[in-house]
Amino acid sequence: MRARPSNVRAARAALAAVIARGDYWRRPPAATRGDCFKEWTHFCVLTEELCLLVNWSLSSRADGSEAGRLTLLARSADGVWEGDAEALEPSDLHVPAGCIGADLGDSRLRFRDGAYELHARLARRPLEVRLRLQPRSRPALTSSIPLSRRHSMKWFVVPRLEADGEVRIGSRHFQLSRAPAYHDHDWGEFEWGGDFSWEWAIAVPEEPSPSLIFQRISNRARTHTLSQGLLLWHRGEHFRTLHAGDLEVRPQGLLPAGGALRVPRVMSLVSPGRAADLPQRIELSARSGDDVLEGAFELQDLAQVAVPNDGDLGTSVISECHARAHFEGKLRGQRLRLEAPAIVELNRAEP
Amino acid sequence: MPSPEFPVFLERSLDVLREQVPEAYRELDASLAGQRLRVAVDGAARVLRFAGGEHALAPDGAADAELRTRGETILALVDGELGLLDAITRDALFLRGPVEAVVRLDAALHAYLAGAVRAPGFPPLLHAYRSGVLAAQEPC
Repeated sequence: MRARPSNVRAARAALAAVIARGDYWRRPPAATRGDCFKEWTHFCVLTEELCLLVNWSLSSRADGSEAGRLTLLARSADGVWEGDAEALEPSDLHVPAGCIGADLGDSRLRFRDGAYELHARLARRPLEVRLRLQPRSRPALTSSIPLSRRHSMKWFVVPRLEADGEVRIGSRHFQLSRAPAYHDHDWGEFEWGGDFSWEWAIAVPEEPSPSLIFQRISNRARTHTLSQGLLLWHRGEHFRTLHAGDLEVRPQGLLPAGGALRVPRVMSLVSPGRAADLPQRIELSARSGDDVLEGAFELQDLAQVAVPNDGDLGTSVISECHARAHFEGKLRGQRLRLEAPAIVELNRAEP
Repeated sequence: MPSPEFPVFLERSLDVLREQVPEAYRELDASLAGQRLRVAVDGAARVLRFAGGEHALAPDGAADAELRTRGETILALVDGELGLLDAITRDALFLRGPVEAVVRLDAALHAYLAGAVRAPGFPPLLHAYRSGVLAAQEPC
């Protein structure tokens, strides 16, 4: 049965109101924020032809000033990554606290008529993105995710959106129409290089398959897991969360990382990163009562975002790995199956 | 004719490191203590040494180790178009000296770079240096 247009409009207006109440820049004033406050807003588009990541971030410096950065990464179907992470001058950061919209250098983000509109381009690389992203699922807001004994972060997520627009990579032009997309917004007080590491994976298959988020936070040495979870959304609603004890995670193999694109590009010089301990496959088994889900992320290739550690002269490397997700199981009495492109994000600190 | 850009850049960048990322500056000092390092870029050379926790840059002279390259190679390294090993094997960057001095030079280079990517004052210096190098490449 088709929903009446007035009901659809009302549902979209309600969704837009929820997002507007949760997905705003926190950006506490300098006088009240700590010197390791960090915040970023992050968008991914995942199709068979193109994988795209857009990330604007702000971080406090010890002297009370703020550093801004735009990271744009795009992977085409041939497995080639393009992109960079460019610093934004403090005078170019027009990011009003309490708003979703922002102007950051030559880039801008808006939330208009219930949809995100973003335009981002790199100054020194041939990559430009102009997208409208329409939320297609209810968001979720976490209270606080501990990263270590001292630090934590918060997380607002819209696990499914549809992206329309265009992406230019050099002379190649990609037109997107209702492409599966993902968005999150994160903020908290923590230091890069602190006693934590994370694994984060998303898959946003075509509907009606469920979209999926897997997260695991461990100590820096990855000898102890602080938290882990598998979250599923189905038909626009949060459907099921499988918690720590329900999950068995089995990293397998070794993903060759030599020669991967590392951004900002100068970080290849600072931290060449020829050795990396990234798995080639992450298998997951989830069981809770009658609910069962089995599957894996098969990692294929990657680009890396390198960030100077706050507390030492080392580097934290966030590997954005293109992957394929395939999962199958039965949750809440429903048989579910998904197979889709995925992004697996692995955060490691290097000494 | 030697290019004036690099000596200016080197001097200012060391000042920025000392003020804004003192831990990297201390690492640099520890790596080079007692050593004289000759840095020559586009024909302009300076000899860097540390004493009492402070650096000093002298005009060209004798040194324990030498790093010699061109401005365009520095920019290619900074832009990730060239790796350090590639630059050396392609004869775009020369390191010369006894093994121990070259090992110290490598440690000093990493300390300098670790400071450079953290110092808020570094990007404007690099921008000015880049402009100078690119301008020098343009035909008159």
